[in-house]
Amino acid sequence: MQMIKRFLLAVFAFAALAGLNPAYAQLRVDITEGHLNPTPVAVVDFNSQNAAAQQVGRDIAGVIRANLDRSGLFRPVDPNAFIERITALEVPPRFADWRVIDAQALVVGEVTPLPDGRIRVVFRFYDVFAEQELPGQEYATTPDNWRRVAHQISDRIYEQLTGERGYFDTRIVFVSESGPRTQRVKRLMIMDQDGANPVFLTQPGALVLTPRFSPTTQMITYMSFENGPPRVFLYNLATNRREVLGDFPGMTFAPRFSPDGQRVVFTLDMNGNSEIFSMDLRTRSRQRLTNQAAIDTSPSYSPDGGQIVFNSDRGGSPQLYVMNADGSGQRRISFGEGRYSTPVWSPRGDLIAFTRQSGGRFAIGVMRPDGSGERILTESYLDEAPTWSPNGRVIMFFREGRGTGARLWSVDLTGRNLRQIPTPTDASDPAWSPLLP
Amino acid sequence: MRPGIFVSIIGHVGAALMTLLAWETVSVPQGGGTIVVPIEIVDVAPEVNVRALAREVEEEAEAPEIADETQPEEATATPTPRPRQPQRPNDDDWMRDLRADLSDASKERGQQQRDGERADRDQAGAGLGTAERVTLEARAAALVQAHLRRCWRMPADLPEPERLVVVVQFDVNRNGTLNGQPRVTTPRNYTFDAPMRVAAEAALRAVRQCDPFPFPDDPVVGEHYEIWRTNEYRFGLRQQN
Repeated sequence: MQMIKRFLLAVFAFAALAGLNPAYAQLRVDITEGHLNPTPVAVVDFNSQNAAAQQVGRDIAGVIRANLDRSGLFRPVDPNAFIERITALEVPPRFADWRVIDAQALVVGEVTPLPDGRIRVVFRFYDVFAEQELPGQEYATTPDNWRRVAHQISDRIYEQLTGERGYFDTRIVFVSESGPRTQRVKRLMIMDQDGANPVFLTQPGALVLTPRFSPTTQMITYMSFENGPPRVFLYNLATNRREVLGDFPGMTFAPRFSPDGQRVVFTLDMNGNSEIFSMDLRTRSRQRLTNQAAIDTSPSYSPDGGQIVFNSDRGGSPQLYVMNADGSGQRRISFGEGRYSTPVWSPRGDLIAFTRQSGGRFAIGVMRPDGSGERILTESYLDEAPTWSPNGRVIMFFREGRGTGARLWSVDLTGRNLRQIPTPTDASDPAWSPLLP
Repeated sequence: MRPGIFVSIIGHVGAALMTLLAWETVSVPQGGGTIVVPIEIVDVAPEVNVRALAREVEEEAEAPEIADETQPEEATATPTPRPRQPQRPNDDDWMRDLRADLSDASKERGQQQRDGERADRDQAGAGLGTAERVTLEARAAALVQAHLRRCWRMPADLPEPERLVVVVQFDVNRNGTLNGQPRVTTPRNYTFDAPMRVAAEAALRAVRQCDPFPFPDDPVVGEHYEIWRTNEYRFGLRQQN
């Protein structure tokens, strides 16, 4: 009897521990919905003891704020809202003062003139809510180079907060357009990604088209009518030297570098039949990649160099195709309505940007390399010629209105952050550089 | 003959008790997800509770409350009258006796090792049954989901966002403020995984930015500190097909 009672009590006790007794547990919640608002960042004007350097400090902070704002991922907090006045970098900030104004990150810095005439720029970076300092940086440069310092600091902040490489210390080469429509002057121009420091690269005499940056070097390839028929040129920005890619029997156009910068892939038109070729820049040997009666053009390498996306009308209308880098395994990837052109493989490798023409309008979109997941990012009377930022998050292109000149615009992958890039003239055919060395 | 009847009675009563125990045990939600809570219980429980609570308030408070009838029936956000100790609809004498027996049994076996805080916690939850617990947890979850929506910047624009799942643990004080620092428990190491690092920091930032939490002010879960004292949130985008 005693045994049975004990047994039952033991069973009850076990059951009670397992189930009846309200177990002390964690509240487990799946959080699947948040927001995609820009992260508020406070960038304080960089300090200095010297009046001239103080102006540089203000300018640097201004450029950083503008860069972060333009990215669409960050919202610079209005400096008028700042409560704490940062006077020394050695003193940790009063985080509560920055939390109150909703700043999630805080950037402070200092500009110090050096005896040799250069300036030293130091910046520090804080996660306000974690009350932690993140890795800062120190730079020494000539005073007139302050913009690049600002861009590099912007890149560091961007990398810390997004986990991706920045793209602010880069340049854009594009076709500057001026003059009446019947006598359009098209010259190559280069500027910082924010539109600062624009400089002409070519003279007004010759028409230029489709400039493309090398992904690894400060080299540009483009097409020019400089010496009669259109030819592909190489332009070394470091030495300012230009050369013709090669002497071919027909017209060459739509050039683009391979990811390692060692090859150029381009289109060669022979008697109305356009085919894609690649050329080794060291040996100057060329290889034919397509062999079709149709027009094959606009080739662009995948970032691993193993594949090429291109445009062909072999199916009846211009569509996107992918092939291996040696020309084998050609297959169509675009099946949507309309005509697809100017494909560009993302530096991240996950997407291909393109122009799509349908219903009398032009759109910039992206799709996966297998043709799935097509998304249109922008659409207008004429949107054309996408180019990727080096981190594969932003696309720049040109937009032309009915009767208005072309201008450069950028849009991020969400399609929400559409912005015009300031240019001194009308502008088309942008190409984004890699990060500057 | 007589011993046979005696054994038979004990056997039958034992079987009946076991069945009841098994039902109760299966119904208790386990956080790990190994036991599936029946849908009926989740659906029915709130109504049962709300009515019970409303009745109780009507009986207790003479003051005219513009409570349930005038307000739209929202499962989560609608303020409902502050509950006293909720009356368990199933809590009959039989179960109370059983629980008393069990308590005695535990004491007999010397397995009660409660310190003061633990005892407090257990007593606070002692009136909770499965249905109440599920309801309160669901309500607390809905509260915090709405609360964190404005603080969590989703990693939707990072590469491979569906991969970026971060689990954060933290404790909350009775007044709703963070107790100590939130910590990432999953993934264990993300030092060299830049997108994961950003996602983890975004989750931590969300918890810190959303401090204090709204639990204490809620008329239903406010008194049940044991429900929301320790928290484990899984930050991740909804899987898309």
